[in-house]
Amino acid sequence: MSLHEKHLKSLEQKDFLQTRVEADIFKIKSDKSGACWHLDEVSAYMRKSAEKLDALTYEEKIKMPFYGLTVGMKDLFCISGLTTTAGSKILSSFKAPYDSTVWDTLSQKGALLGAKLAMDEFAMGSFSNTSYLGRVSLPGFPDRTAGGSSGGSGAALEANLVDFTTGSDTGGSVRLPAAFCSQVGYKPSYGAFSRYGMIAYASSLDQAGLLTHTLQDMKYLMDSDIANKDIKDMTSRQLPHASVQKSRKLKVGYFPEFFESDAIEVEIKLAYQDLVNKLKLTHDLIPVSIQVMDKAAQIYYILACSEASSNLARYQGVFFGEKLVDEKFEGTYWEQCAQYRSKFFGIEVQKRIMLGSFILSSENFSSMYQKAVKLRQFLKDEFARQFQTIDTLLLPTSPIVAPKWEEISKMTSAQIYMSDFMTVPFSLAGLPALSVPWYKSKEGLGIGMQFVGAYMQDHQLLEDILKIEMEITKEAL
Amino acid sequence: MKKYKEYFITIGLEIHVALNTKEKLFSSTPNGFSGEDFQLLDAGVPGVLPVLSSEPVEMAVAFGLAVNSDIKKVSFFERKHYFYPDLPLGYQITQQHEPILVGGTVQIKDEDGKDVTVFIEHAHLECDAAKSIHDLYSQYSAIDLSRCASPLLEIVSTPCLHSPEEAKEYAKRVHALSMFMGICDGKIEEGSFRVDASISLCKQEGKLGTRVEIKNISSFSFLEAALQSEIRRQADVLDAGKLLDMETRLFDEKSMETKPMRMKETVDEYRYMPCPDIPALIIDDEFITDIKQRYDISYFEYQQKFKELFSRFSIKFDESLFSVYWTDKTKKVWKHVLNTPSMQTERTVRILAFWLPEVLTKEIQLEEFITLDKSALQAKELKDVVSLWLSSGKSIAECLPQMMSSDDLKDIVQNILVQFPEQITKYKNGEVKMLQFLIGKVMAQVKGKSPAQEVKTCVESCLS
Repeated sequence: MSLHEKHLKSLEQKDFLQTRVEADIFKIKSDKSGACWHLDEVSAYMRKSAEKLDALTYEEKIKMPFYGLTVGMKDLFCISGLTTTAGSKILSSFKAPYDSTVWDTLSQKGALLGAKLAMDEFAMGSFSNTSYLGRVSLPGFPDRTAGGSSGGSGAALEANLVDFTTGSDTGGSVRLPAAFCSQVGYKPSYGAFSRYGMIAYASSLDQAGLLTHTLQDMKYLMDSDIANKDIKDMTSRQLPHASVQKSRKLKVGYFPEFFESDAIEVEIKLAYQDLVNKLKLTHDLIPVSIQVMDKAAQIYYILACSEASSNLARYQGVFFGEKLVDEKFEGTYWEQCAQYRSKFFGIEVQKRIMLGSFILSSENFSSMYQKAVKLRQFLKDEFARQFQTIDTLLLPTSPIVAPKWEEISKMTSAQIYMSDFMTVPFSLAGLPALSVPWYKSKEGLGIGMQFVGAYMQDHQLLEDILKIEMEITKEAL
Repeated sequence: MKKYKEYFITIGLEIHVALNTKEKLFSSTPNGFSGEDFQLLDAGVPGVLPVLSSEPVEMAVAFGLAVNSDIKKVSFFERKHYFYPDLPLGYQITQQHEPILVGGTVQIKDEDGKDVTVFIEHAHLECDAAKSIHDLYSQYSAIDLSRCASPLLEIVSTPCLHSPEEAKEYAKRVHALSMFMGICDGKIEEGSFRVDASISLCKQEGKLGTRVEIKNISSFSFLEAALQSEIRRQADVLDAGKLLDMETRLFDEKSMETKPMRMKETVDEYRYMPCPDIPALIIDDEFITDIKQRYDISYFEYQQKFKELFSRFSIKFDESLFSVYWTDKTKKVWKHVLNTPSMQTERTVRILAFWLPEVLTKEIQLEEFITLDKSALQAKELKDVVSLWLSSGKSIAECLPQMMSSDDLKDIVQNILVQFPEQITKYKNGEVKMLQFLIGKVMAQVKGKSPAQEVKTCVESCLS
């Protein structure tokens, strides 16, 4: 049943939410993937909110497009009064004192909080395995990852624990779990969704994103006027509505080099080729090659780690989160700080803080940081130039299908970082990108295909993909 | 003291002006020292983003216009990182590398009365830190967030000053200017106006020696004293053939000497990074035109006019008291007076500069002032009338004492004149100033119950 149908159905029944909540809570408590956190706290909150929402009149409910729907929120969106950890021990006792704009918007439109979702610590990771609260495995495949960093957002949806989910995407953190968990994952243009109240990892790249079962569901969300300029975030922008031209041939850019690439798994290459071939029947397929795109992962990690080291500097144990109280400690404030941060930050986070601090040091700033900024701008310009002639870019979301935990443990940091090379370019350029789950591997693992649009043309992009979806037959390889 | 022994002195100042804005630099928290009110951003709560307030930018631009800075059409904010409990975000938001104002000049007089131009290198906006309090609790330190993220304008001069006196003059000038423009409350003791100095000595003229920074200077005379003592100290080190350390020293008010700061880190590594939360600050011509209309940017012009006006009546003009003479409550009237020669009398200047500021708690309008000015009230009565006006809500005219009839006035004049036959004789013999003496005597008796002009006419007619 689509989100829209669920919403309509919910209007017919008195006390709809209160009836469904208990079943939902039971499902979540039986879940084995590790997708949901703070279960007792969230259950209590759900019951209370369900009661309030149910008490509204029919006229009020019908104005709320998300009434009757549950949303899973990645655990880095502040929700007033609720524990919000961003997956970090350093925030394990942090109760958000205010609402993030994303949560505020969704709840104003009637969405019921259905879960707080598991993630990598501070959204740093690709496999949902860096948080002190545990890892997230792919529903139905306990030996494999659900992807990261928004692993809970993908897994909770695949396991049908909630109706739709939010995530955050800094370098692929929505698209990757969407691909692994066979869901639609949308990373908006940078600035389309306010970052206010979203715990920061790398501010110039962080974007809130959405995951749904289908493209139609995604359209339902996007048509409900949820992306608006927010005065609380100076980097937010107003997303223009689509000037939809329905019956037209699309110009689809694709990367022929990826058909041959050794970095991409065979099944994914075949799926990619298959999709390109199918599209050729009705659309103009244009081979493209983007300069500097092969450096995107390096550029991304230089900038993301630098910003992370800065954004995480506030965690000193003074104002919030775990407290810096060790009455026997006799060192300086800085020594105490170092001890505190070493104790409460996980290894991956510490690694990125160290890298970022190193890059920002006066010695390396110009040769690393500033160079990366220049290359990022170059990449942005390259994409802008391409989008003058094409409507959308098509490429796989990930070079791999959901790996097994044992495979991950053998990967080096560099290997893990490089595996983001098909998602980070569009984060760097701030472009909208959607991962759609049209293919599965022989083993039944999700293969995501990624469509990228021009800056701020999010609505148009979604329309274009919907059109493509209607034209081609969905089929497994 | 341009030279001490055989050493040429070079000084540069960094002045932090706490901008007198309604809101903090990046949040809508009221900007004030008393409030317990703080917002989430001030405490660095995760997820909260900075949103640039307009007023601090306006004040910075106004200052730039006053000192002829190049106002940058595009400037950027960046993060300066260091770990300290009074810096909740772990970084200070500042504009070190692409500041809003570049260049600018301030004219001063040196100790010999010669004109000296002080060059401003740049000025930028930044956030103030919170305040650590160590004496509130026995076991803990406390952090006062009320000042955290308040806007500062940091004005950095080039190393173009050559004596402690010059440095002090320049600092006083900037202080007077900021207060005149209403961008700072000027309270040095409360940290609203902070000066750090860097100083170096060199035997070769025009060259710089090893630079030493002095912090913790809490008054203009301490600035002078700190520089003097530091000059002696540096000269002693150099005389002994030793090298100076490039360091930061603190001024100790008890010993009146500079002392080395507790070694924190040998090199400052601030890991500057552009602030990704704040887009480029764009200032267009329209904005500047608006500022020109709304701020008093012609301080130096006004200051000159003041000086002339005061000297015309042989009243001593003290620039450091300028903000006492010229307040928010009187500036509209001052502007009118400065531009209207017919209003420029000694009485008017005295009322505006000395009598009113003491009692005035709200702005006085021109018509109200003219009523006061025209009255015969002397200092004490005038202050009483103003106090009554402020507390009663009546108009000034209604607060003035009941006027006496011209017959009553004539009686008083005649009663007084008979007491001073000697002075009358002198007056009749051509000693004109005796008239003023007699009028004064009458005025004291009239207590403002008759207009000054009428008193004068009456005295004159009784004498003739």
